[in-house]
Amino acid sequence: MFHKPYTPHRLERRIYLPILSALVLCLAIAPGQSEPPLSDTGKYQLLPDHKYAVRLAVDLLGAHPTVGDLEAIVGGTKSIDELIEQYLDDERFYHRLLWIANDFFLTERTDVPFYQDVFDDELEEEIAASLGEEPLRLFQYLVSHDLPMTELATAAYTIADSTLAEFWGIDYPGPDGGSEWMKCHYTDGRPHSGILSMQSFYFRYESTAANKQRGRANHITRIFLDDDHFQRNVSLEFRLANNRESDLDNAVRYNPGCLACHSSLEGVVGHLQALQIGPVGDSTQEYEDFNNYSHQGIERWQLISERVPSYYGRPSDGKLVTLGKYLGNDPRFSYTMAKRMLAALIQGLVDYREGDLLVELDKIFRDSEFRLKDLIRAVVKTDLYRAMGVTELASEDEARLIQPFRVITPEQMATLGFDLTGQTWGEEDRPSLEYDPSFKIPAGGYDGQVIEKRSHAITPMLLLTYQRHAEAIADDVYDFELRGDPPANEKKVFTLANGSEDPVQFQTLVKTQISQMSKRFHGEMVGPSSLEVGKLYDLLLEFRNQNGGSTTRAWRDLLSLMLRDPRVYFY
Amino acid sequence: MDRRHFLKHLSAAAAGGLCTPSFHRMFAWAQQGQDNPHFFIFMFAQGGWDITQVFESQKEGLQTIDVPTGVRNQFGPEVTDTFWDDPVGRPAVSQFFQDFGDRTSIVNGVYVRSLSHNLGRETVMTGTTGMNRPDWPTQIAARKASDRLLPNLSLSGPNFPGNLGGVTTSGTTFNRLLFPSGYAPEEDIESSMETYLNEKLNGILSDVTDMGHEGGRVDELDRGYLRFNEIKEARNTLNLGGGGNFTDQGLSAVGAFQNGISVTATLRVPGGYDTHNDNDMRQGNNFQNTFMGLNTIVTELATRPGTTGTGSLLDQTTVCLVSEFGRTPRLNGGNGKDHWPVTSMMFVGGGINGGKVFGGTDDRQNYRNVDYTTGLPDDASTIELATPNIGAALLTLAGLDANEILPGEPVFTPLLNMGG
Repeated sequence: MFHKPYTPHRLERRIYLPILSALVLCLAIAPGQSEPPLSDTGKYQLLPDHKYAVRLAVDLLGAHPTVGDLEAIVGGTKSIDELIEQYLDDERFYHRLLWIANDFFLTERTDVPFYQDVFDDELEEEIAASLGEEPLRLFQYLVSHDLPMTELATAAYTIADSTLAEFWGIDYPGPDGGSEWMKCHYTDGRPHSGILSMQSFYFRYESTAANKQRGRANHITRIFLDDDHFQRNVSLEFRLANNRESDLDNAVRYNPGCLACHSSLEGVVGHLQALQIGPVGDSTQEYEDFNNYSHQGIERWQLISERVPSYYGRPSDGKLVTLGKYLGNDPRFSYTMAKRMLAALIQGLVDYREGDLLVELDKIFRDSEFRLKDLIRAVVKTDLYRAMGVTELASEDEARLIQPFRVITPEQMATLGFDLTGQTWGEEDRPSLEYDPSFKIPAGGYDGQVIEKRSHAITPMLLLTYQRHAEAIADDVYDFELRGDPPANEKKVFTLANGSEDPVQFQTLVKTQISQMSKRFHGEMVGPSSLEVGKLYDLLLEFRNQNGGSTTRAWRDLLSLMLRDPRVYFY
Repeated sequence: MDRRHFLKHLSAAAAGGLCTPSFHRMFAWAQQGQDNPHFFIFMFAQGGWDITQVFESQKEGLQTIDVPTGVRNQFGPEVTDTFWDDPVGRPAVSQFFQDFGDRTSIVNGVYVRSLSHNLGRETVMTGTTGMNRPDWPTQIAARKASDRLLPNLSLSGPNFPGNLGGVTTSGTTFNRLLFPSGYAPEEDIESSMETYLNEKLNGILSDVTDMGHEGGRVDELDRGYLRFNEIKEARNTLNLGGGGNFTDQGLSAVGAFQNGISVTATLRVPGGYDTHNDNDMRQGNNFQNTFMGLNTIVTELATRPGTTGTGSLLDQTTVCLVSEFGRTPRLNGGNGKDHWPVTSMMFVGGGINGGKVFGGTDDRQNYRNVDYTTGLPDDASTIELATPNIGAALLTLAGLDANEILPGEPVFTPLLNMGG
């Protein structure tokens, strides 16, 4: 069995909490289960199967397991491996991929003020949404079609909906106004090379006349290779003699401090000169200029700068396709993917101390010919992913990333709320917790522009935001399921009771309904006669009294309470 | 997790959530003489403003720079302490300098090093780009007041929390989250809910600590809920106002300072300053609206008593009005102005050497180096004025060691009047 290290702290806790601890249900261990299982190495305390299923469902689907799946897992009629395969083929997994991709690309939120003369105001949000999704949809397409992820840099096509196609000039094969994202091509004759040839990517990551595509080049190396030139530890003399362009031009060629980055950066920059630097204006003319791929740009740049394209010292003809091949074949690409997926799924800052595991994951990814599902499957089966604690056998390095629980992200909370209740906070197709930065950011999300990194910190604002989310969707359930009269198959919460029954007269039915909700909402395998359900039942009665005898309003309160339970946020 | 926090959850669970020691803690901050912080409001003009509209007032008559309609107007003791005035088109600007010119400093010729909106914002607020460095309000709040209820109120405008995100309360929806307009449980029901939820939380804390976890996320969980409960308990006392516009947000920040809740705040001023066309008309309107709100907010600061026992809240607060960069000297074909990497900033209130204009640009609107003893342009100087130098001054004003945070960066001390 696992060993609990003795600490005075724990002793203190035992003095203060003898009764409370016995009363409450814990996060990780269901009633009837004594202690969590151990990993084969004996180093990690692992989540029990039903909690492991919850973690997998939240991470892969942004949802909770069905009661049937939970019971099958607990009953041994379905294995975790089967569940993983089921989830990796689920439509909701493909939606999750958009956010996983956005964590890398940060393109989802794109403003389009520059081109305000080009389209009607009402189209602005639609256009912005489509622009931001172009790289993410390619990511999703590759996974859903089981294609190698190297096509992120090499695909001979793009993925577009009709809005994007009309905006950039793409041969969309679907109907006018079609919302389906489909494989298609730019019509300006540009060579396609995955994200590298996407106009939306360069709209999001613009350049300036002064910087000559260097920022874009750095975003490419940062995204694909985890090589952020800004993070290089170099000694710089910032105060150049003047801000004249010739001084800067000389500096990036001859100044040793500058060369520490520019020796590799300038070669990548050379591949991007066929693209306009903009957008820099807001007129129709600027729009037309920007959306224009010029083959002559590369030669022009070479002539002006006296430098040729290259890839980390290797020769290149400067074509985007060549850059894409270099990126796809670069061992740093697969290693970066492995590192990012591991970090995302364990919510930790992965570094050299996970080197052995990363090499293993990298090999799995490469052996699968860069199939992302294989990489994800490998990550979620690691002890590191499933662990919730360590034993004394674990070294300090092995223990450093182990947390007792994960913190749900706003995007996961949005889809989980819909999964549990059928209701959405905000617009149905653009839930606030997924798409509105003013709600996402307080809950630890990012907008990709001002806030570029996700926070997994448990802040008061996160808790406040999630409380309002719980109340909003509980109120929607109240309106739809309790006050309305929807068909039974459209009800997501009140699948057994209808919510208007007298809870005293129909105690068994009501408790069974609460038990069902506990399983779905909290992943707890509690029966109608359990202490947990009894406590919630008592609260329902209390709320009914406080609501002047209204059972439906009492249910709304109970529902909002159950959706605010820490076991929904921490998994 | 320390025992104080653990017992907090226990007491909340037992007492039903309301009336806890946190109230005393909150009001203790606000008691005169017990705390003597310096407050900052950062007001951000998003899009890049035209510095000739108000701040750089010496440019009329040049062939190289287009200036708007108006006159030069002196607001400080020296003949060069002037702003560009247009009492008819922008009466709020004139009114502001009339009322608060002696508390106001303008800093011209600040080099931003970027023409990109995103990078310009990051540079102005953090002094650098790409380093994930927390912005000035976050640094100040984290180092001077991390125990406050909402140390840094980032109500709108750019927000770069870096690795100090825990002290920032971000989002324009803060008031809406605190005071929901739709369904929310009645108070007595909420109290019962909190009792139940605190039991659950204590169960989790108990279990994870029994497993050997301590510090890190366990502390975070404990402290996050503690502060969350305190915010909810205190929400009626917070009285941050329910409005979401610039003036309302500014007044919310003022209230949060006075009640001892926050020490820094960031707001976005009205209007989009990215005027690639119709520059003069749009910039003029934006400045009028910005200064109208600014007048209201600064007047409120000047009217309210400070928390030190003497003077007004304005004596204790510095208002920083900034934008991500400036605009080109000449109008383009659409009567607009494009991006320009030199900007101006304006500072009002406590700790500021008021009635002064520092720095400057040349006849082509390039920045001029400055003499760091006088703050005035000096072409013999080898030191430019850039965003880290301004940031270092603000950190110094906050009582921090700027050299520790920005090693080697000269502090632009002429801006400061630390003894005043």
